[in-house]
Amino acid sequence: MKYSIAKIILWMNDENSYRRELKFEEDKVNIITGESNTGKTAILHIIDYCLFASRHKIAESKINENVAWYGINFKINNKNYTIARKSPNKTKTSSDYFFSSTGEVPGLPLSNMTEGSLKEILETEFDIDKDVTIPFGGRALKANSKISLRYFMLFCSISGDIIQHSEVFFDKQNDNRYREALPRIFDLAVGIETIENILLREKKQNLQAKLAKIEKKNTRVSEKKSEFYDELKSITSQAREFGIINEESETLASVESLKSFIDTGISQAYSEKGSRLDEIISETSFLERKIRNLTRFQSAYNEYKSSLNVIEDSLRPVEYWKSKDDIVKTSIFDDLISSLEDDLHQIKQANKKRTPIDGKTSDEIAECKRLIKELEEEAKALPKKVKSFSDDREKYIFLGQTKTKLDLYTSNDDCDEITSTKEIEDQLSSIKVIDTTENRDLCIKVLEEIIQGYMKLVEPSLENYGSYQPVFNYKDKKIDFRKPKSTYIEAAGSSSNDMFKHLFMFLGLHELMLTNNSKHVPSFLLIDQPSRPYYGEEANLSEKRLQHSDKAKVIDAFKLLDNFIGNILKDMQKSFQMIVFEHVPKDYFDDFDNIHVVEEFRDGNALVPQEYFDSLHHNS
Amino acid sequence: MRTETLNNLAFSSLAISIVVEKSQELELTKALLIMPFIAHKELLSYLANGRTQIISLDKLIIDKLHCFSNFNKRYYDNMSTSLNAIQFLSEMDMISIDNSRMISIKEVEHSNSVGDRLKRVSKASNNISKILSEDASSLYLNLRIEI
Repeated sequence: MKYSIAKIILWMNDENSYRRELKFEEDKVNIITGESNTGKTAILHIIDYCLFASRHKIAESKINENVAWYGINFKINNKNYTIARKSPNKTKTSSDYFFSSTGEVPGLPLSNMTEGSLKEILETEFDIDKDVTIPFGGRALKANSKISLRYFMLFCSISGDIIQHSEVFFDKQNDNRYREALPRIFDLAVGIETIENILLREKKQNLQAKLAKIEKKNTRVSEKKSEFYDELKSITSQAREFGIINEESETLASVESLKSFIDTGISQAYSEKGSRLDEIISETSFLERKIRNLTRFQSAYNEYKSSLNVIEDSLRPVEYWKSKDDIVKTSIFDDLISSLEDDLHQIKQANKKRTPIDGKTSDEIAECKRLIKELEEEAKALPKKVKSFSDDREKYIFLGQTKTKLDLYTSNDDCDEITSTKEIEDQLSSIKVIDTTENRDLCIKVLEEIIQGYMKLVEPSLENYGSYQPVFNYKDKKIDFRKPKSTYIEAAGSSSNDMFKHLFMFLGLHELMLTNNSKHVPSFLLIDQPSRPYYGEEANLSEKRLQHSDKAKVIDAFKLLDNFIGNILKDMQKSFQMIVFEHVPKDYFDDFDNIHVVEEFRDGNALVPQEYFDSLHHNS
Repeated sequence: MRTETLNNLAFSSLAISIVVEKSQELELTKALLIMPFIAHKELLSYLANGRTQIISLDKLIIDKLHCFSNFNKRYYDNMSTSLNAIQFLSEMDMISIDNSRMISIKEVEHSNSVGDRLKRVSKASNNISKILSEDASSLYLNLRIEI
């Protein structure tokens, strides 16, 4: 899924409502480099906050205390959106959201959206509809509940907490929900499993259950048939005496005509049910009309775009009122039309490059279809026609008795016939479900192959592991190194190697997702300070500690990122954006084509720059 | 029933003038959008409901998607009526047109006898006027009106 952040916006708290903007480029490794405590990591938390975080980690001092609203301006599937969220009050997150479907960045945002509706808009872009559900339940997550788009964002960040962790490769794994979500969405995200395949599998299971039920019934039917037949004989002979059925007909045929006789007779008493049938027919046709409209609305999207591009000076409304003769032309008609024409022309121009918001049409269509099915089921139980019936009292009594007997022997699920299973068997054989275990093995192989390529690229930096084989541990979702021609998995202990493993896995997964055309995960990656292992944990960092050999490793890490973007752009013809926070000097990135240094947070420049604080003092 | 009969000139001119009065001033392009909102029975009841508070068109579309699936069609079905109504209002000096904007001059007096539908329009006018305060090109974009 195409996704890139164009701007991060902070609306400050002061009366001049100063605005801090950071601009990022598409298809680049965007780097913000600088000293610690300048708000680099806060950017990661701000993005998370704007995309519905229920808790936040934005630093209170210097940042949150001065900010009124946080916002991101981003492109998703070629649409330009702005989302802003009111800043949290200490730990309490806000439910005030601003949304612009055209990417407008307002002077000061106003609350114009609720979280629920905003999520729906984004879910459409993440291709999440009611079919994208949690496949199996856990303690925190229920089976068949909808997958949150935030789970897919797990693939889009390597935070400072985990980048040199030797076991944990994904963010937020200390949170139950996210820990349970990861194995449940992994296959879907990576493209091992597709929605179509899940639905096919469900359909197959339903059909198999249906088949089993029919087969069971068929056995019961054939057992009962013989004893049933004797009883039928006596009933039909009695019916013949009453002259209800034909003297000569066969026993089974007689039962049929007897049954229909009873049905029509009884339906007489319930003739008012006919009106319900009319209701059902009209409701069904209403729903069908709704489906047609929604389907057209869904497909109108492309038509709409192309209609905006037809010949510049022709406007559809103008054509329309020119061709209409039921419009009265008063003295102001010409002025009215010409000013409308001008305005519509401007609107057309303005909308040429924009796309309307997309709702979840497919969910609504599915709901209508479900209702139709319900109505159809109900209609089945109702008699189609009501015939008049006039006969004597005794016959009614006989009909009642016969019905009881027939009911007794024909247990409700009309077991008088052996149901054919051919249709279901044909359907079953036509459904081809892709075996995920096979697909998974294949995907893992591809992933390892991709990673092998990355390892070659930075071989010297991996020291003695350079010639090892990468192994993707599917169960724990992590990368290990295997000694060539052995099954021995080595615990390559240094934090430098752990950092490289993280990069390998995330880049590899994204490349795999792009190959598989996975629609759910944004082509975006945010990395918090890959050079972390070479600085140590101390707060007081000095550039001198970065020894010559370590410098080469840092540069290798960036070579890897630069190479990745280049490969995605040139070889795969796709799109990808990275945002990386760093500490190393700017000149490290001089030799790379796909790296863009956004800003340097040094000498007073920061997320909230010193200048801003100085200006506050001036005013007060 | 034909659109022209249900949304006749008397009804639509009153309906449009009620909304313009709420907005005080309204671009002509936006005035053409009033009737398509009113012409959808469910949408009109929703907008007229005292509890409904519209905060933006985007949210309304997401919440009531099915009410918007044929908005473009409603726009064109109602266009003649809307244009006639605007001219009529101008001739009657209820509104003036200046620089492609309609300006409300006279307040519409409507008694209880005007009928339920017009009363509903009156109740919905606040919400409709709120929606129409958004930028015209965004409205045309998200309502997907083909121009």
